[in-house]
Amino acid sequence: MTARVMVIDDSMLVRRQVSAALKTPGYLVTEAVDGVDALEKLAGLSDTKLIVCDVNMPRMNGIELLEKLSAQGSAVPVVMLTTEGQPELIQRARSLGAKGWIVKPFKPEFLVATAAKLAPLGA
Amino acid sequence: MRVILLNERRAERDAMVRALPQDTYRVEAVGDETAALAAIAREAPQVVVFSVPSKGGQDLARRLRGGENAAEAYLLAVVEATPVNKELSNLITAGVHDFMRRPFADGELLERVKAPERLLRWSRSVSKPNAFDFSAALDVSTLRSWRTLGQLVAEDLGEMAGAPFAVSQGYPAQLNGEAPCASIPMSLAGDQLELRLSIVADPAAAKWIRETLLGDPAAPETAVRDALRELANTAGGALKRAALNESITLTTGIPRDDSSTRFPGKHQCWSLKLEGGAGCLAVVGEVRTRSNERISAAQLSEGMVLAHDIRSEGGVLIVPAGSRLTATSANRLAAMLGPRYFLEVAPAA
Repeated sequence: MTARVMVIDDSMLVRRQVSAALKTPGYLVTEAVDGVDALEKLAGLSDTKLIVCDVNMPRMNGIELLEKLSAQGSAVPVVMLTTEGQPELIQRARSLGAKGWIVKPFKPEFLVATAAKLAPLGA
Repeated sequence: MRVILLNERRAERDAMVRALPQDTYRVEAVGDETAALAAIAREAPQVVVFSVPSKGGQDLARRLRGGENAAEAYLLAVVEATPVNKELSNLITAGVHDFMRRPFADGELLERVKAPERLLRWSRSVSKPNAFDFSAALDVSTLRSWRTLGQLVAEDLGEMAGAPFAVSQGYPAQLNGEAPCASIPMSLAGDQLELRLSIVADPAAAKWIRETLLGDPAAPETAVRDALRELANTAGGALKRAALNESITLTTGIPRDDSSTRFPGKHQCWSLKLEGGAGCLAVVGEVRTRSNERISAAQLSEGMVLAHDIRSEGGVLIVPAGSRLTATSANRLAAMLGPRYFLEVAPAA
């Protein structure tokens, strides 16, 4: 059994790299270009088991998206994938419910291991 | 600083709240352990002040700091005038940092709560080999992270590319003409400096981006420019994290396409060469002083950088200085503050 992951990043390169890494073990991937796009797509994808999200994005950034998801009572785990490393920002994301923080450039195997922990295939 | 105050005695609890200035401390006062644990889970506190019950004080301290959110919090215990045998040592064993004996004056609570701030400054002073003068404008050339920008960026881009880069100072000679370029705007929180970090690719590097990063030799120009923007974003992240180690907080904007021929500010360049003549990237870092503008909150828009903290009427920090606004945050602040509220911002780059 597979699981759907939403990848949110304004960079096509990152979306492509993350998608390739997650599709290899068998995840279904949906891409979104920013927080606004992600919210629209999530509304129609109730089978999403994991969100991998950038922080700095136009229109609605990753922290703002976390606030929205938290307000909606979303139970989908979120992992931030970003170049940011400020402790205050990490703490803010954590307090809003983020389950992980991966700093770019990322290792695909680490991302897949994180996904397997939060959204196991076959569960 | 967020403070959780747990005290079953209402009158004493209210007096303690009044003793902590609202513009410095965000105090959440609660009367029982369940409410305290809920408050901790909701948002991590920096300080937890709690009244020690007649029995089970040690266990209460362990439970208060048991969750992830309070693992790093400073615990201040309020005890009776004559604590029973071993009570204090048991509390310390359970992770309590300091305690106050009843009765105490309001001023004592404030001084005790200031202690973690002093500890933090002390810890920073002994862990950082350098000293910085914050009374004057920052000279970025004094920062190690700025001086070694080329190496920093090469390390992160090399990890992304899966191959090392040879780094040398100076702008690559073969890049004198037009070449695809992306840059990322950066700001120093609380200061007037604007940095711009640019990545320029020569034709061989553009080919390498298509073949290696994108995995498509026929990838269109738009895909190459998108990849360059992400390289600029990664470079900005490398500088940002290194600057943080020198106690300098930079904020970044959204990477964008740029012109490789214009670097009007004070700048420095590095050349990053791929192995086997597979191309060359230029890394250009620029610094310039920005001028803030005073505008109505209704005029806030994406990309602007706040020059000062935005606080609620109660003194609670809503958005810190140096924050770069997204469309969502600009709209939210504009609606919250209203058109008659004026503030200083650096214009969008």
